[in-house]
Parts: sequence; C-alpha cells; structure tokens
Amino acid sequence: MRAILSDTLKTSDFLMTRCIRACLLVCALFFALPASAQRTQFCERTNYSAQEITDAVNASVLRDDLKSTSCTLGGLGRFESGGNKGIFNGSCCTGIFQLNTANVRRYADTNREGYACMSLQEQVDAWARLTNDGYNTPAVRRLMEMGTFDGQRVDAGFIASCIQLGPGNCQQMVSSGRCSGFADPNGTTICDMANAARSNSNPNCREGNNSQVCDMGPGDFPTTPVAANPPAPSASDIVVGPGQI
Amino acid sequence: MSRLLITALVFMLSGVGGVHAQSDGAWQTMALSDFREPSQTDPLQTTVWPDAIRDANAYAARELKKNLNGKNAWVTALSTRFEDKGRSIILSTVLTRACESGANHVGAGVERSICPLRIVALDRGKSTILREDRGCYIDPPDASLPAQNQGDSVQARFDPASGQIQMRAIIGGRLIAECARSYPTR
Repeated sequence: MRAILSDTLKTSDFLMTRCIRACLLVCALFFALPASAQRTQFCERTNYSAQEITDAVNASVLRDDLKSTSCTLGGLGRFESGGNKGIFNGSCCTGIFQLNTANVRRYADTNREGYACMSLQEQVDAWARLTNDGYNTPAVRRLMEMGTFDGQRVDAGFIASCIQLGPGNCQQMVSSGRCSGFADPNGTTICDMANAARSNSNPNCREGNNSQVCDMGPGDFPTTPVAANPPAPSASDIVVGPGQI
Repeated sequence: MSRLLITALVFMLSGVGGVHAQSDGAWQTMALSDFREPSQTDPLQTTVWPDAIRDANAYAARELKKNLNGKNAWVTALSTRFEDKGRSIILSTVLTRACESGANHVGAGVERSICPLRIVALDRGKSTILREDRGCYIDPPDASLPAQNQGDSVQARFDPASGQIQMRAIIGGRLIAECARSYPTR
C-alpha cells in the first residue's frame, strides 16, 4: 500500500513538474517579447480548444504519419496562440500556429491580416502544407529515423516543433545530439516546445486513428497487437487445452 | 512633345520593378518588387525569375485552389541594379517555397529567409545568369513592426574597380553574419 502511494505521489510530482515548467515557459515567452512589439488582434478573438485544433489538423492535408500523434499538435496550437487565430505577435508571427509572414505569403498567398481572418481550417491547412514541406528536410528525416532524441520521443509535436523553430535551427540541434544544441533568443529549445505541446494537449484527446493519447516512456511496450494475422499452427506446436492451464 | 514622351518612357523603364541603378560603391538597400501584376517589361519578371513565378502560379492553382484571374501568385523579390562598363547587373533574391524561413513562434522576432539568389547581366538586349546561389531575404519593415526593426534591410554594393558585389543584412540594428555574400562579376 505504501509502495503504491509512493508511486502515485512520484507520478503526480512528475506531472506537476511538467505542468509548472510548461506554465513558466508560456509566461517567459509572454514577457520575453520585445517591449516595443505590439500584439495586434485581427478579426475576432477565438479560444479554440486543443481538441478543436486537433480535429482541424486531422481534417487537413497533413501527412498521415504525423496525424497519428496529432493530439500534441492541438497542444502546440494552444501553446502558440492560446487558441486565438486572430493574434499577431507584433513582430513576425500570426494565427493559431503563429506562422511567420514569409510563410503566410508562401503557403496561404495572403498577408498577415488576411491570414488572421481565415477560418481555423484554412489556417491549419496552410500550416500543414508548410509542415509537409519541412518534413523533407534532412533534420526532420534524421529525427524520424531516430525515434527518440536526447531522451524525448519524436512524435508529431516534436517534428512540428522542429519545423516551427526553423529547419536550419533544428539541424543545429540534431547535429549537436542534445536538446540544448539550439535555443532561440528567449532560451526556448525545440524540446521545450515539444514538451509544452504535450502538456497543452487534451488528456482525453482522440488522435487521428481514434486512439487515446498516451506518452510512451522507458519500460513501456506497445499495446497494439504486434501481428494482426498470427501464423497458422504447425505440427511442432504444443497444444494446451483450456482445462490444462 | 515626343522628346518629353521618350524621357518619360526612359524614366519609367529605369524604375520598373524597383530596380535601382547606382554603382558608386556605397551600400544601398535592395528594393521590394511584387509580381502579382504580370509584366512584359520588368526584367525581374521576364528574365530573372520567370521560373519562380511559374512555379508559384502552379502551386497556387493546384494546392491553394486559387483562381488567379490572369494575375500572378504573390511572389516578392528584393533586387538592386548596378551599371558596369555598358552593361547592367541585377542582383536579386526571391521569396518562394524554396526558401528556408525563420521561426514560426509566438516568442520569435523578425528573421531572415534564405532564398534563391541570382545575378543576371543585361548587355545590349542579351541576358546572362552570372551566378545562382542562396541569399537573404527580408520584407521591408512596415509600421506594425517594433521600432528596433524599422531599419531592417538587405543591402548590396558594387565595387566598380574590381567588379565585386557584396551583400549584407541588418535586422534589429545588427549585421546578420550568415547573410554576408561576395561575388565577382567579371
């Protein structure tokens, strides 16, 4: 009983630490913007939930393999904009996933105001096109091959964070082999961003493949069947009847 | 009257596409051109970046499902023009999907994009691509950007003695090391 209680406390400590770190990161980002950068609200202020953003991601043109862990992407949208698709950060970036102005022009063929006034789905589609293009960069391909990086699972949130902070910066991190290999001027690393995306995702979120979100960690094993079609029995198999177990 | 018309025409053509003609060795800010309005006379559209415009139009129609109605997709370029021994040299970078852009992040500031770069020589009606590379692109600042970014620019200069073109970018009052370029043109 004492052991169970101790394990429970450890788990809740771990979750609490992650939540506090994510909150501190959000606060740090809020106050780290240059004093003269004036946030601007275009069109209506929205408060899309992580699940609503995840649903838009799943309905977008994003690659299917990134949709399979799309709950973290809903969390990433909450982390970047608080679910407010009309917000311009005052220097570069606009909308639910805070696309920079160059990418707004390239992937939505509009300016920041036009982008901010697009629907959630249209914004997510533009971001998905950017993310699909970024998927083919050497840094992302290497991360996908690795599966984990510096102890972190490489999921859709991690890949999206890599592309969010720029493939060149991400390559710098990958080359270093450590999360600390790249940090933006505010000290935010790609791993920080991926953690924040996970922390901001809906714990009851349904992925694109309708499975519940669950972070894999050391000692975890896949809960999905290894083989959907087991091999047929052979003559050398030892057959055990139900009453013999 | 006809002399006035010719003068006006020369003046208009020299300013087409925001390409400036200065070769005094001083740094000059590369000018922005917007290609949404198709042009048969702008050398940036007809000679320097026709393929980039074509690709962007195809992407806008195919992926963005846009009806362009005879216009071009929103492609922009920075450029500057130098005069050298009877020929014109155009240096330009273009913002397309081939660029590597900066961060997309609520805590990020203005960053450069690394984009396709071309140096094209125009000599008695003949154009030659002297160099293809990748170089920095940033939008000229607008009023909504912070005060520290109001002087942001990509600049170039031409040394008439050596024929060298140099390029640099300033963001937030600081020179961006990865944007420094130097190219011979002779």
